[in-house]
Amino acid sequence: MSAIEPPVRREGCPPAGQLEFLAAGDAVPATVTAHLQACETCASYVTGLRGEQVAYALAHPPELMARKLARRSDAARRQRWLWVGTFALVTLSLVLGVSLWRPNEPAFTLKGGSGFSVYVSTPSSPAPRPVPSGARVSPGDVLRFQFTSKQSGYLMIVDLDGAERLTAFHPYRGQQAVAIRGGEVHSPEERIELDSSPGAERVVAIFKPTPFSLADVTAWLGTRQGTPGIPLLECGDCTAQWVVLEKP
Amino acid sequence: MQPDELAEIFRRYGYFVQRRCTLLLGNSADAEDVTQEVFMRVQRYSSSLTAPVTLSWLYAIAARCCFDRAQQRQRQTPVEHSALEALAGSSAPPPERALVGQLLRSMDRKTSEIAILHHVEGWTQEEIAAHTGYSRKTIGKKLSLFSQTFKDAWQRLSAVRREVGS
Repeated sequence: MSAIEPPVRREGCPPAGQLEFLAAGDAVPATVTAHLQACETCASYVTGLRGEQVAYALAHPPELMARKLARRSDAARRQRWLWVGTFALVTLSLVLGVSLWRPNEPAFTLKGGSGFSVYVSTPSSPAPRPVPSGARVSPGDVLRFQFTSKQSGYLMIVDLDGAERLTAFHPYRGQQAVAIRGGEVHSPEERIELDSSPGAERVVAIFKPTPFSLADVTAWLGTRQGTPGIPLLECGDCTAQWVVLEKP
Repeated sequence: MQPDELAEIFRRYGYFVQRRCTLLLGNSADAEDVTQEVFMRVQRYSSSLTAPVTLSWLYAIAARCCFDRAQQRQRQTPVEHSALEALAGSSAPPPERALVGQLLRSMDRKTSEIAILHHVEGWTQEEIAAHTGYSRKTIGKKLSLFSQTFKDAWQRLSAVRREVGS
């Protein structure tokens, strides 16, 4: 494509853009058309443009170009539909995936970004499986725990058995809560084998932003009942997550 | 829009649109491709057209398509040294217009639109105000920003030309 330069605009000359509109056959103010009669420079620019327009049309036959554009439009439309289809398929897969996904949900979870899970393995089924509160367990079953919290703080897992005896499961028989880091899954190493003492095992994970001891837990555990079978644990800014395991 | 109607529009305006795209993109291969894109848009929007197609409208579409293309090619940054070198070594007519085209790609849309009308189509500030509805103050500010950018780039271009020439 040759580069025909617009003339330098002199006093009284119309803008080059209007000369181009005129050359293309578009409507322009009558003053522009009249100007061409008197201005050879502008007239020759318009003539030059028209000449190039004709040459361009010969080099790019409009009918061929229209067919080419139609093919390109069809291809673009197909491409768009392909994208729409792919997007719809991916969205559908995601929706299905999310709605069908069942992670190993913690047995008992409180609001506030922390979760407590109890896993049980039995002699006949040694792979640990998460159990919900209210699950039935037997003497000889082995408990393991998992705890997550968004915040850093201190954790103690204790058990209140049928005889109202309080035992620290994590740290096992320990006296002080363990410091844990927020945002990490905390999986204590302890494996607790259940004995044959009768009654439910009430396991509670107590999380507090500040250090505390088993003696504190004993003091917090009042005689008042919260939900049936679970005592109230009045510990201020701590969270207590209970899992009750029924034993025959 | 029937193929023969599109053919007629292309016959009448194709040259002008490609010429404008060449100026804005500084690259004839891209310009040819973007010209086709412009006419594809015409075809796409034809059912909602309430006024006849005009060159002024096609120029507006062409500017948008060119800036989109330039953006895709991540050529938004002000004139690169290599581009200046190409301009400096070019035997084409005065590189001012080519430089204007390159700078336009690096400006925001409003500035580009105003600068195109002023520097490419030759409109005065008053005519641009009447044509676009922008205030004289806005037009003055945008053109002044463009002129400063042009001046800086021109100085750099001159320096590169001296390097190339020596």
